[in-house]
Amino acid sequence: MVIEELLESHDYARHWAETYFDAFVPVSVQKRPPFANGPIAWLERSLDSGMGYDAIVRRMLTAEGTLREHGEGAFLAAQLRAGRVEGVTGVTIETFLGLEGFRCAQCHDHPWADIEQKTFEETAAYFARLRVTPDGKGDARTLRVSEAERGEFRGSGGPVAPRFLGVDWPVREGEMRRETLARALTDSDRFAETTVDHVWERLFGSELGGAGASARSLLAADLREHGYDHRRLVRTIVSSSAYQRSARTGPADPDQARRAFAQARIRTLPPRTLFRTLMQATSVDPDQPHVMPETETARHMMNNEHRFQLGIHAEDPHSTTEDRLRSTTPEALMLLNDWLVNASVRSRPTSRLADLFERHEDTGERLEELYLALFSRLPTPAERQRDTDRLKNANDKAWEDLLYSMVVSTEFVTNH
Amino acid sequence: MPSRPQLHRRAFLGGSLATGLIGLASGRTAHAQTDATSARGCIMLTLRGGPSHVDTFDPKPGAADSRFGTRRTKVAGVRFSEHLPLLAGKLGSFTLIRSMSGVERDHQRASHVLHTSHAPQGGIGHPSFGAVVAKHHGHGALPPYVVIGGPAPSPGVLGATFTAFEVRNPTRPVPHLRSPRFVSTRRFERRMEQWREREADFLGRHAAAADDLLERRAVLEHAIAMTNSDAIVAFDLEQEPKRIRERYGDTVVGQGLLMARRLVAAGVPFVEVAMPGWDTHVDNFSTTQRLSRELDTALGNLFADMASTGLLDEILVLALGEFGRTPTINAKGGRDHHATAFSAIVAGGGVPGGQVLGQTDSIGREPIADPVTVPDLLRTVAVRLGVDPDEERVSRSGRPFTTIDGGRVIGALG
Repeated sequence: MVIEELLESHDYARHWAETYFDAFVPVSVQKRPPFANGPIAWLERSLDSGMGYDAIVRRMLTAEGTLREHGEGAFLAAQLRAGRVEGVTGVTIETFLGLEGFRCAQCHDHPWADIEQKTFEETAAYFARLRVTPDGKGDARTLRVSEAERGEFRGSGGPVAPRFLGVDWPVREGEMRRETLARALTDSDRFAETTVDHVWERLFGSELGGAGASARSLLAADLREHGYDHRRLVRTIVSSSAYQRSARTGPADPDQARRAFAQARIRTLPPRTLFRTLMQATSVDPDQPHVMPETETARHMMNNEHRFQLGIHAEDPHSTTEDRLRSTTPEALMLLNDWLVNASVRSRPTSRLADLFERHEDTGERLEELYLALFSRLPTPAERQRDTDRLKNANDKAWEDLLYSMVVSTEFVTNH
Repeated sequence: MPSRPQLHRRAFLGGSLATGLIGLASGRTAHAQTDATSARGCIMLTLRGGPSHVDTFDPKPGAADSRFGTRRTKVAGVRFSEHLPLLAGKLGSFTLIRSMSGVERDHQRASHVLHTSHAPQGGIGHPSFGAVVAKHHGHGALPPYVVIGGPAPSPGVLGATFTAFEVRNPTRPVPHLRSPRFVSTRRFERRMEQWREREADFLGRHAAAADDLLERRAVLEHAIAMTNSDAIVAFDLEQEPKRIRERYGDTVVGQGLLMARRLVAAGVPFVEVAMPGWDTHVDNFSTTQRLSRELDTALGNLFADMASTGLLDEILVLALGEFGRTPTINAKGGRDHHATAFSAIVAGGGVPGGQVLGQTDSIGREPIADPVTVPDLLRTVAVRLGVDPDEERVSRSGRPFTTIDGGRVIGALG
């Protein structure tokens, strides 16, 4: 069965490791040396080995050591460097428990979410002894995550003792504060439900929402019962009839249909996926794309995949999953004018087009292979006629133009 | 520099006491009375985080836990913080409102009000004011709505077509405005013809998602028009002499306001420049001092440039945060959110300079004269830009709402 094969493949671990890495570590720091390699490899190994998702999060929150050896420390290191203890606290609770607006309570009682500043400060106290310091020099440069022996969080009324969301959580002998927090957090019902929400949203491109409350509860209960088995959760969701709906058909009211998961939503590919799909579609060997830097600017493009992440769906507090099909003008300009997109369609050695020219003389055969590679389908009779007419007596550039029109099309850049 | 009435604050207040102070009148009536459409564009500088009014434009020497000194301005009896020397000398060019007042103390909610005039209500999708202006003017080769230096507010029910064009960092060249050199203009056009055929086919097969697909296509078409246009040179700060670039300051707000000036001069009707960092819960004074200097250099030079070229006659300039800050200092040397009193700067587009509207109490806690709300201010700006503040729209859930949520036109702004 295809689903089982995919879940057992290494691509499963790689894909979800990247997904969580993007959720846990801001894109803007991902390529800095301490974060560039170790953390994502750790996530990949953990998911591949079948480690429970709750254990993964506990490891992240209790990490100690250098990121080079303990990639699980990336979340705390990135958040602490970006925003002090208050930042780590807010992001931790919002990310893993879905408590939107928790960060606001660092300065004042939340005006409508029923979160008091005192509750925020007590939670922040769990991170009061967290330290992130530079370690090593040159190529060995990294960050070290550690726990100081003492240190208190100073709130608006002075030093604050740790409590978890207003509850005194029992402390085990000898454990550090972050260990208590990690146990409390992953023991919460909210943690299981938020995990379900994340996975659902990633797979559907839209939130489970209020209407999906019973589905959320069932999935969360199953997740807890099976030791936070991430593969099982993904398997359950992608095996559902809701996941297998088509985007082409559905009830008359598309908004209502999509809300009820009676019709799939068309959504743009995440930037990493778009980058890889582009490389795969335009190169014979996607691991060795034919696109090589050829200008001074290009030589300085250290990582094209990262550029795609920064340029498309950049961190935007206003974008919601409902906006996933939408594009902004800067994103559209990047898609149309980026050097990489334009270079990827050129007919150079090891490119898709060069390979096509070598193996097929016939225009029809070339078109069929190109459509299969890019759209996973054959050209319609109308497309075949139109493209053939256009390519009659044309040179390589006409084929490049054809390929360009395909890679910037909505059909190519979306899930549908 | 065009001559402007230099209203002495006392004279203004004296006159306005007799006439109803700042002359608040009902929106529609005032619209008719003011013969208002006199600005063709707007630069809105949002001081994100909420600056301390008592440490900037409404100082309270000896009170409000103040530490900064003050300096004289162009208007007798009016003083600014010592860290705003250029703007103090330019008060003749703008109106200062010291009696801005609101109710929202949360950043997100207050920022929603600042950008839309409406209190946030789930699911309504109020469009940002910039998006409304963009819709009013329509798309040309340049985007009608640009946000520089920060994330753009949502276009709400107006849809992605009116999402602002975001320039994240104006100190660097804006990327992707042109095709790579190896793709000629003609070839780019040829490619896009084929792309249009593919989009039409895809739409035919996915008619159920037609609205979203057409919206996406409109955004791509605008990107194509931009790529083909020479007007995009307005984004290129390298076109400015080095001494001008340096004069605005090598900061996001400095280069952002310079870019904004170039964009409105080229016909963009609404540009927002975001200046974050004013949320001074901790260490208020050193942060406010640093940001005040950046603001002073950037905005002071913008006013000078726009006045010397006459651009200030046509373009309205606003500068304000989503709220002010408490008159008291907290345990961390900071000031917290304060909604009931803050300051705003309004200039250009026919707005008289040299005025100070309203007044706060002895510590800057509340206005004691002529409170002005964000809806008052945005209604006034809408009228001056020729945008109907009472146009009705309907949310996705079927709820009607107007462009501006109530408010009254501020008569003293001309």
